[in-house]
Amino acid sequence: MKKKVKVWFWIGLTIVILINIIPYLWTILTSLKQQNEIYNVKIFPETLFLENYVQVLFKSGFLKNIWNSIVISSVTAIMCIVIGVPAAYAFARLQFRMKNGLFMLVLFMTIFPGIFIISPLFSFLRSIGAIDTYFALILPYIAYFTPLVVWILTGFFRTIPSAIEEVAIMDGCSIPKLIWKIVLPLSVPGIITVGIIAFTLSWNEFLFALIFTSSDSARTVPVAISQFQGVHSLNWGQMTAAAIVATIPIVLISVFLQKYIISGLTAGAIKE
Amino acid sequence: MRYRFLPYMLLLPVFTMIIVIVFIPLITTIIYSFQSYRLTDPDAQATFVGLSNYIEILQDSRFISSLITSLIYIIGSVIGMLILGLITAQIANQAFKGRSIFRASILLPWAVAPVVAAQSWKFMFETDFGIINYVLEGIGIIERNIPWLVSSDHAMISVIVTNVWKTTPLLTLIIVSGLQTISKELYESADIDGAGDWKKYYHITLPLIRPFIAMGLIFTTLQTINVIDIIYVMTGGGPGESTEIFTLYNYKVFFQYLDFGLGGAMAVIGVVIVGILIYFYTRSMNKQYN
Repeated sequence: MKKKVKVWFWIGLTIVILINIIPYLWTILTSLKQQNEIYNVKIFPETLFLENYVQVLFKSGFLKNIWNSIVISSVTAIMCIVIGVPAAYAFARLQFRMKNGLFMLVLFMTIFPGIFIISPLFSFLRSIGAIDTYFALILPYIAYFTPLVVWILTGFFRTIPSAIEEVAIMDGCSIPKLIWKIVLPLSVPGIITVGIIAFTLSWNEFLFALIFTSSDSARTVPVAISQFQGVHSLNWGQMTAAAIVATIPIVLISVFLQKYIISGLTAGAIKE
Repeated sequence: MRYRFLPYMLLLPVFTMIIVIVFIPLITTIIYSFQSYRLTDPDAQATFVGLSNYIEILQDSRFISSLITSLIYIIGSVIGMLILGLITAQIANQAFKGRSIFRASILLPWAVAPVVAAQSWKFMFETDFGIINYVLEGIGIIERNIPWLVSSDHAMISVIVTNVWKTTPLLTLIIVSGLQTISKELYESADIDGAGDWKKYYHITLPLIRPFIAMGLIFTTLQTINVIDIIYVMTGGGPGESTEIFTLYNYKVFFQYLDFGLGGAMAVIGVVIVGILIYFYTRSMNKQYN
């Protein structure tokens, strides 16, 4: 009986792993194939064909898109942390009126569909001449991803024992100083977690990026990939090479720092 | 007393952002919905038209069918995500060698951008040289290539599969965190009573993780209708309008037809629908406690 369960367990495990990785593996394999290998459905490329990568990296504007994404996502992640930490501290440690209501509002913000507010935002950004600038993306990204950062960090702060902080307050330490000197150093893992998550979400975001950019001067990787076929005609080799280049940093980070990310993504679900 | 206003000052930056980027635009969207406001004519002024946008949109058969399409897309995705998510979570919660590799594989679809996931699956669903038809034909399930993305009978299946692949990890992780709250003793006493594995799962595990499932479904359902990326890339809503969910149609009304008044009315209806969805899930979550 027990043995039978074990066999099923490993079968299930193998199937789930295959489901999760095959699409990505197939994309990697395709990116290394020549056009005729792709159209004849050869599973493995005969030789490692790197021309797709050369074309994508050096003969198109894709490097510029990557650079845009790096700048926009980094600034967003940093700003989310800067304005998210004080708010999370307030929710985790301080007592004030309407705390629960405001906290629910923060949670609600993390799932509010962007399409419902996008047209006034577009009009506003256009009226101040910000369309097609980094600012046009960073601003909504901060507003959209900080609530998630606050939500995760609040859960994280609650797990840190507050005894040290109470002593510090009795010694006359001010709250801002307390956050800076005591809470922050203790929360490095939590901050790394939300940093990665905010970075990943902005790196992958599509809708705002599609509408608020109009040229390569601010266009990010997802939009470039979505429009790939139009620009370069139907070339799956280059398309998949671009997809791999665009995702490999995030994929590696999340595989190696999975512990942090999993703890962050599930923080909201754990009851206090 | 010194700290009376401090909490609000700590919250000020976040809520300023939320008010400026979400609340004010949301109110503006509501105002648009009562106006005739088209960007197609650069000199056009927004004029108050009462409820006529709402009347127009509710009589628009394309809008109604986009709601039905959304419902099919959501139900299909939720069923797929629940099956895959519950199984995956159950495995991830066991202690075994190589568990961290398993968990890394769960995170992979989460980390990949929806646009990239869509392009990868689009390539796999290709009619003539896609790997899916190749494999299905190889093992004898189909005789002729299925035109996955170019026939309105199959396109919905393709986008649901892709969405399930991309979105399930989030649900899985939330279910895992639920599984970890269950104490082992409950299972031990069930063992003494001689309960089988399936019985234990149905009577102990499932009721206890139900609030987590509901929570996970709120997140993943909202993501399903919010992230139009997958459908936008794979089918653009087609063939015909067979995969056009209402958020994608809303996007088209705003930025292809440039009708901010009509689009605004759609968005307001959308907010109401999202509210109803969340209400349903939270109610099923709270049933647990009552």
